[in-house]
Amino acid sequence: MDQLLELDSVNKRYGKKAALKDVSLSVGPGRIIGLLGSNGSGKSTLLRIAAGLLVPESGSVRIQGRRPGPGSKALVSFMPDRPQFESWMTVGDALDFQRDFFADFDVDKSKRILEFMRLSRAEKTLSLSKGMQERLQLALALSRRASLYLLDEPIGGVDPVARDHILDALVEFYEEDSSVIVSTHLIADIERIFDEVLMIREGSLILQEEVEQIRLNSGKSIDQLFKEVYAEC
Amino acid sequence: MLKLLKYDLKRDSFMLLGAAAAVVLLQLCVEIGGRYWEMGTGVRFVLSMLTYMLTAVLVLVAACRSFRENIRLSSRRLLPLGSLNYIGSSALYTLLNGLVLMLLVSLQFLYYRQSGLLHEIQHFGKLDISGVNMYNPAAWTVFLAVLTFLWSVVLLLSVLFLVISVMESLQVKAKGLIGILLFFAIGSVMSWIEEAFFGGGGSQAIPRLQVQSQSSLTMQVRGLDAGWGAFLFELAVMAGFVWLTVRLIDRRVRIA
Repeated sequence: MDQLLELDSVNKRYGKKAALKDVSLSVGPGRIIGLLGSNGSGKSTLLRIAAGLLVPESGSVRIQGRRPGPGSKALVSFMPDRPQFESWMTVGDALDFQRDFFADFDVDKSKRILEFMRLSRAEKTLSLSKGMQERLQLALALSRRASLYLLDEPIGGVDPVARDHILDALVEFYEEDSSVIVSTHLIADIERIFDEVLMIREGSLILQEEVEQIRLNSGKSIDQLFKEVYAEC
Repeated sequence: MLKLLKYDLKRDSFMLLGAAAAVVLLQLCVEIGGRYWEMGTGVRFVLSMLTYMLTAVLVLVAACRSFRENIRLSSRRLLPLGSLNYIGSSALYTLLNGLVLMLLVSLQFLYYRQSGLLHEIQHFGKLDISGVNMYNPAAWTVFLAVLTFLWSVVLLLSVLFLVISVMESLQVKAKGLIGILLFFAIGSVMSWIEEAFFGGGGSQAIPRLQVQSQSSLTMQVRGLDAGWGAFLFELAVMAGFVWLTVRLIDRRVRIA
């Protein structure tokens, strides 16, 4: 089967600062992948390029063989690190908004996710706590039957109990023939769900490997390896 | 595009309904309060028209705000839509709001006509729109005038949307000032070209006003006799602006 995501020598700069340097990677179907890196390492930039929100200066990006654009956006479900719903919306409005624009939106699945996340359609998004907003963000992303899910820091600002709940939801509701890329620097809480990890440092991809392989080769957990790799950053 | 328009209207429904209610209330205040405070018919008429003109400006501001939100919010830019949809939905949003405003103005004129005030207003001064018999216009002339007005609004929107896209592509603090300067620069260059090559013809959004005396105002809507040359020039310019706006949205506009 085709690769879901392919990046070839991708470079991105913000003014004088290089955010991504010559990044090449490919992601196949049926994987949960951790995109690991310290703050400012380029994780969000990489995900935003894959989601079609940013354009790289050079290099090529393909999502199931397509260039980023309206066609690829229909295949990718992106959860940004900032709220993607609008402040005037209720939870129901935010879901209806997704349903109206994405053909792969699954109404039954969205109802089950809302129940799982203990969210109500009538609640105003502005009145939700940070943890509940993160849950809504994930509900919006997972309610679609997308080929590729890109989740940017889904557990960034929530307490440990909510973290577990969000991770359980992720495992429960993602489509098994699709792939999920989760960016995070909170490795210990999340490494249990990864099949593979990508490590990025100062805009360069320094590792792409199976989790089991890393454990076998180094005898270390991903969290321990992460701390070693990023100790000097 | 229509789905996007639906959510633009839903997002701004509170503001739009509030503004419509405020316009109606203001008109009632001018008409009823004006009579109570013994304002003349002419004063009431001018106040009413000023209210509508102010509202028209606010409609344009709301359209610019709506377009800006559409091109810079990740919630909108993640949708599987081509960039032309953002331009189209904001243009429809403006035209729809403009249509409601025109409906309110028409109702006011109907009231003036039915109550005999229109006849009274005619005696206060002379309002000429070149090529149009104001008080008994031919149907074809009215149709052309409306078409010219719509065309000038669409042309104005293409300039505004281009300027907003340029502003949202910049990473400098003075981008607002740059936007204002760019807007006037584009307007001046277009006017100069139309003046030089098409004898001043062209459908400027703001018609030329010529005040001859306190009681005589001549409004020249040049689009009515501008000719095909000016129209084709504006069509080409607008197509160029839309193309440039789409390129900027696709490649340069910074997403929040």
